Amino acid sequence: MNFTLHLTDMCNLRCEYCTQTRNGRRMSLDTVKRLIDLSVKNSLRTGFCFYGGEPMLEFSLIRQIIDYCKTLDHRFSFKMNTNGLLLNEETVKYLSDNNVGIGLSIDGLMQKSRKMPDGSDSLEAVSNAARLVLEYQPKAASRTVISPENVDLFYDSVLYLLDLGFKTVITTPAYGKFAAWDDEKLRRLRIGYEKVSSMYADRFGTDVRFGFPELESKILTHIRGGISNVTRCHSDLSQCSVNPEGNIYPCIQFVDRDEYIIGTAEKGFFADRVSSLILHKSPKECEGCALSDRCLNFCGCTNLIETGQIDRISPFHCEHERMLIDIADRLGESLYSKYPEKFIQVFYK
Amino acid sequence: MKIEPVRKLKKIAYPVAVASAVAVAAASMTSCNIAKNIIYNLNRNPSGSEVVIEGAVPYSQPDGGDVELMGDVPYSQPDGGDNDLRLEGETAYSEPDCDFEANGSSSDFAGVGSPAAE
Repeated sequence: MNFTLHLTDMCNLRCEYCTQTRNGRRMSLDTVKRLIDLSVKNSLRTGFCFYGGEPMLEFSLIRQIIDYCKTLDHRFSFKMNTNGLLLNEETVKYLSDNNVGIGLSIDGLMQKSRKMPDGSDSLEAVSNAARLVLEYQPKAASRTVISPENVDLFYDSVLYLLDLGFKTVITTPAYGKFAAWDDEKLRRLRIGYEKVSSMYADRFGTDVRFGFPELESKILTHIRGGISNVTRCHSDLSQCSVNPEGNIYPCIQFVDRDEYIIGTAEKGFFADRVSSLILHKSPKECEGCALSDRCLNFCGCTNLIETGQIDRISPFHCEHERMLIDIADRLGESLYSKYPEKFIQVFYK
Repeated sequence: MKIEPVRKLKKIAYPVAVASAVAVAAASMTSCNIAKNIIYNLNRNPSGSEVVIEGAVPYSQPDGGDVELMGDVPYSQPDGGDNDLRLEGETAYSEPDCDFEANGSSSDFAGVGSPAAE
């Protein structure tokens, strides 16, 4: 079983697009131990993703969790999503030595949306953290949010992140009430994707090839005959989120919404709640859409923050998915035409 | 911006993959790829259906030991029960460190096809 542990709701950044609230709540080691008991009873392996708020604020708890896991005859895997500000040589070495995969939240030149609490810029500090992480984990990926305010810096930010040393840049647009996308911003977003796609094609046959899952995953939805063969909605319990008090939710965006609690660390899963929340169907408004099977329209998390309902897609989400599929297909066709062997090697293995 | 169902699928000039679990696994050169391909094919099973892997998984364990393929079954059991998959048999490598990230969410997708997965 895999759990995303919201170790704390506190954070040392003030991102403009963040929808989380900060109340000083912290997870206890006992809560994690109960989750481990639950997982050990039900599965062969337990995966923990240390999350927050900012998980490095709870680094001593992370150490305690890892130390405890080492005492058990059970398989564990660890990863972390961090803004990097509290990483240093010692902590990165410790995390790497203990096989904790570090995903670094860094927006490149768009980082100006992510201020320090005193309002100062965070790009230099996070860039230094990125260099350190990449030294120990060369395959670490950046996790990058594109906000409508910074969309014109999207392409240059990808370039910046690649120059920093990332081999894979994972992007997502900002969703929710603080992301004011409109037609003009969407047009600029498309320009950004087109430019990244063009750079991807230019570098594909070279030794500076990079990963850009936002487009690659859409190519795969065609190759594999549907999005369910490429990605899963975490609402199927493949990666449950756990809030600091130990309440279990289907995924990150459901955390702290009581109506979506599907269990607790103490009592385990509530079978009736689990079955009622699993969502694999496309929203009604997508019926008859030829792209429905390649679309993330079933993502309850995105739908929830966009429309307030897990089974209702927003106009922005629809337009964004159509845009990605269009660009990805043209990219796939170009790569297949130009580098057929490499394309098959990369996408069909 | 609007919700606009696409009525007609355009022709796409790169092919769809057609493969069975065993055929793909046999063509793979690493146990990690075998695992990924089996998981990929399991993904094609409808929710709640029984998963059956027929045929021998290639690459025998040198010691003839059991196969233990770790990873989440893509479609979880409705009762929240055992989400994990165990393949038992007498062939194939087990590779505890094999990374199944390719089956994660789009935000987690370190993906087949990206250098991170290689």
